[in-house]
Amino acid sequence: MPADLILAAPLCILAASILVLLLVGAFTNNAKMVSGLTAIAFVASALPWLSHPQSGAVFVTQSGALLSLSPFSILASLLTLGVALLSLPLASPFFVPARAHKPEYYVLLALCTLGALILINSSHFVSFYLGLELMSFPLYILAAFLRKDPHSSEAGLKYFVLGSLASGLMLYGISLLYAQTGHLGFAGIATALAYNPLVLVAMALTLVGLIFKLSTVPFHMWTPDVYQGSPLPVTAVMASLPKLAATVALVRLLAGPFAALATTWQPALAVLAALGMLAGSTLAILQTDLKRLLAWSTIAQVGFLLTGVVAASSAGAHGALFYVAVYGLTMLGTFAALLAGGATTTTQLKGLAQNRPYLAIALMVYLFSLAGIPPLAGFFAKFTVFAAAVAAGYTWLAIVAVICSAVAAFYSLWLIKLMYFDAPEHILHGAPSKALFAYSLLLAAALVVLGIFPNLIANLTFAAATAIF
Amino acid sequence: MLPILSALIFIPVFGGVATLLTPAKFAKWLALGLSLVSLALAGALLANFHPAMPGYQFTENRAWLPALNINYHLGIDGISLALIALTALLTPLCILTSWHSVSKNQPGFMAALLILQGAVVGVFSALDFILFYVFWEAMLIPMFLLIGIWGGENRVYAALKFFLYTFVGSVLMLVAGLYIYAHAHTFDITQIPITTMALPLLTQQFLFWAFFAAFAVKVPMFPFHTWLPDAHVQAPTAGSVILAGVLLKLGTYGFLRFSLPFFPEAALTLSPYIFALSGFAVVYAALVAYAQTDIKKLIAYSSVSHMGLVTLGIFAGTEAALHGGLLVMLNHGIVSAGLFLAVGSIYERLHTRELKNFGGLVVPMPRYAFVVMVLTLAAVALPGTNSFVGEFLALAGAWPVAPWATAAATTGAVFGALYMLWLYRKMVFGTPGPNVQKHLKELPDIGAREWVIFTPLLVLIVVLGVYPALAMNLWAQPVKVLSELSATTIQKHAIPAVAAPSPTIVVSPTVVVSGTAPVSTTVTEGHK
Repeated sequence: MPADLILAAPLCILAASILVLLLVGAFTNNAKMVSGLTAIAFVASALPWLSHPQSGAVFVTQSGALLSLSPFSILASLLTLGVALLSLPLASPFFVPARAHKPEYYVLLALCTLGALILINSSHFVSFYLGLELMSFPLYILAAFLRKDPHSSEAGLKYFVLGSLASGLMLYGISLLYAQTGHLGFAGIATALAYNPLVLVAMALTLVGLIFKLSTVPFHMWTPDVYQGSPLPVTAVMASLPKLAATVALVRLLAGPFAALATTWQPALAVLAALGMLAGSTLAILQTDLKRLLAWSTIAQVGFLLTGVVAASSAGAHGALFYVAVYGLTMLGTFAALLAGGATTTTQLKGLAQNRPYLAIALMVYLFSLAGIPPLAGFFAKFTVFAAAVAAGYTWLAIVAVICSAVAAFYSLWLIKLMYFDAPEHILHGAPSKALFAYSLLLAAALVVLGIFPNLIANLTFAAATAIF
Repeated sequence: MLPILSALIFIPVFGGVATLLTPAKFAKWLALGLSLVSLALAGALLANFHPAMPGYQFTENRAWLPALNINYHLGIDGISLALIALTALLTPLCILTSWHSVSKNQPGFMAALLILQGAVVGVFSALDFILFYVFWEAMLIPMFLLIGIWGGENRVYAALKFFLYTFVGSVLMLVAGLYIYAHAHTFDITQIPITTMALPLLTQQFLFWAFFAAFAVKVPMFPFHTWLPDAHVQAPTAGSVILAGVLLKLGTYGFLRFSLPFFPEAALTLSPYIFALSGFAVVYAALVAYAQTDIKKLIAYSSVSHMGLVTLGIFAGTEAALHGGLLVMLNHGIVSAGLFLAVGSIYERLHTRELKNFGGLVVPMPRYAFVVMVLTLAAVALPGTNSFVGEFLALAGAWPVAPWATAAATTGAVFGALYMLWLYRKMVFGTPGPNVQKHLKELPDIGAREWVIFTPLLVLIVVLGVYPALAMNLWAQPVKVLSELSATTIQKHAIPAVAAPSPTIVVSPTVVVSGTAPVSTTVTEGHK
């Protein structure tokens, strides 16, 4: 047991910190302090993995290990913690003016992160389901965090109802799998899995939960509404953290228990990816609300990253992880820039370049990166997944993907056009939050640096993803 | 060896960022200084270049993304060098022409110009496909902003059209590059042909079309040319100059660097379509140019017409045609850039580009009339000017390969004379137009700054017209390699036909096509 605890130390540290956060929050009601403590908790739980990344099985039961740490899952966990840490500065500039800056936000965020870590490292359907739900429930609550705002409540309810439905379907799939194989551990299922129609149904239903979290077609309908209704920092978290965790979980699931069925799920996933890219890229163009636009963009982006997963290769897994990490950074930066610029609709972006020139540059970097224009990180992200898809023989998917990326480039260009080519409709008064300003510039600079030196992340993801499939 | 190529790429890029942060008063001086540094570096390249040496020179090779075998691999041959020198020459001229005419956010404008220059040099010197692609796409950003922020009334439409057209073409090329990588496991431009030439012909042809999509849009070839007139008319003068002088050469450069060496067989089998498109483009664009009333649009269509001549020469593949195609590229870069600068000068004074508003400019501005005359005569390829040699070589070299397209293109040259001389008459001679009449007294002639802009171009027009070998010697080596490749491909392709009962009929055009000298050299090489 002590060996288990050492391996799982980061999870334990985070879980223990959450209890402390809850107590501190309850007694002091000081959101600022809790925010700082949460940051410390994230860093503290990352430290063991940073100093001694050690793979191995944790909490081994009769039906297999509950968690199984691999270089891939550890790197993904670190990236998740990084994204969670980076999402913290977004909260106070939004919630303080809304008079809703409460410690609970941070506690819920930490809980969500813990769930994501469990999901990422799980190798057993019990821990898998537990992690997924632990990640999801805080998000449902966070979506409805602005209690007095009907849109926020609506978003929370919608997310909860649809999410529960997806979880239910997934649970049903897991039970069917258990009925067919007699196992719940990934390793056991992988050895016992034999092709039959019921297994296919079981696999499809099991994947529903993740596909829902990833907002992949056809389980994407919640995304625009929930993105729009949720408070902005929560939307930023939704667009980055669960996407990362769900992608990694999907890769581990497909490369583990379902590896034998690759020839079946590859084409199916390829079609979903293609549909997602088509729907997301075209419908994003029609949006006038920025959060809705980014929601549709997310649907398209997930389609892009799935092209890497479809490849069913180490290169594809590497691409997907690299993609989702870069995407998470881009989303956090974009939302920060929108928050700093005070824009919620596309027309409010008009003339931003004259009102806030540096902010406009940052936002331009994010948008060009989303469109996959070099020399920004988004290009290499797209490049790695497309390369994996082509190498795996999915050239048609890569062609669909690049055409969709050209369509998707249109809305990026349109927003840049609003910022740079149009005159401002009103002059913005008052200085924006300096911290937020610096934050969005810093992340934009990171995307440029990562675009010029993709090695900084790609080397890590590549090393971690070898021997995944 | 000092990394001159890297310096030529990154001094403008980082200098551009620095310019952006400089106060408006000093930004243009900083930009001018930086562009002169680039010009000096390009001069150093020219001075240290060995034209007779085969392969690439000034190479730099460092690992960039080892996971995918992507390298920061730079190097130039004569073709790239000529185009880099052209870029380095045109950038300071662009900065000078925008000295007063750009008032809105001048530091930003200068920064975009410099960053664009860096990216273009990167495209011309990249020897790794992905590095090439990165520069190729990165170029779109500053150009998009140049048109969109500093352009004319319809600038938004033009900028979006420019960006999306070129982007769609490029991403198809990217997929083709990835497909090649899946087989070759390298992005090295010098290594890729080994793999691609072994691919089945049909695959080669698909890949060829994918690359073609990217390059044909940039050239632009008919029917992908519709973005060009919009982009040109709406772009500020400096944007038009860079567009016509440098960016249009990227497509044909791509044909020379990728399409021909990678897929010689596909290029050969598909060349009839390209000849047809080129021949048609020369005539069609010339006729459309004649119908224009906006001077910039007219020159834009004349560019389409000239570039048709270039693609004709490149795909003809004979040594003469390749030399001709390259000369037309270089000359068009000089002449059309000069014409756009001339239009910019007059627009600065009269704020119109409508032809009907002009006329009689020779009276108030005799020196301007002289400059435009030299440029016009060069544009119609008068013997003694640079364009004559290029057009003649391209047509003469393409004649044995594609007589019909060449015949069409030759008539296109006649139409070219028609619209250019007509333009000159309407602009410079005749009775002063309404706008000229109004300002007849206070219309200043060319001043010192403008002499600095036009002199180098006029000198080059005459020098390259009298002694074209100056440029041709630079790229003789790669041209020889390409024409030999084309000759061997024709031979290889003719072999199955030779086995057929009547060999004489098939063989004789092959000999005519490739010219006797290249065939004999390739045969001996084959025996080695």
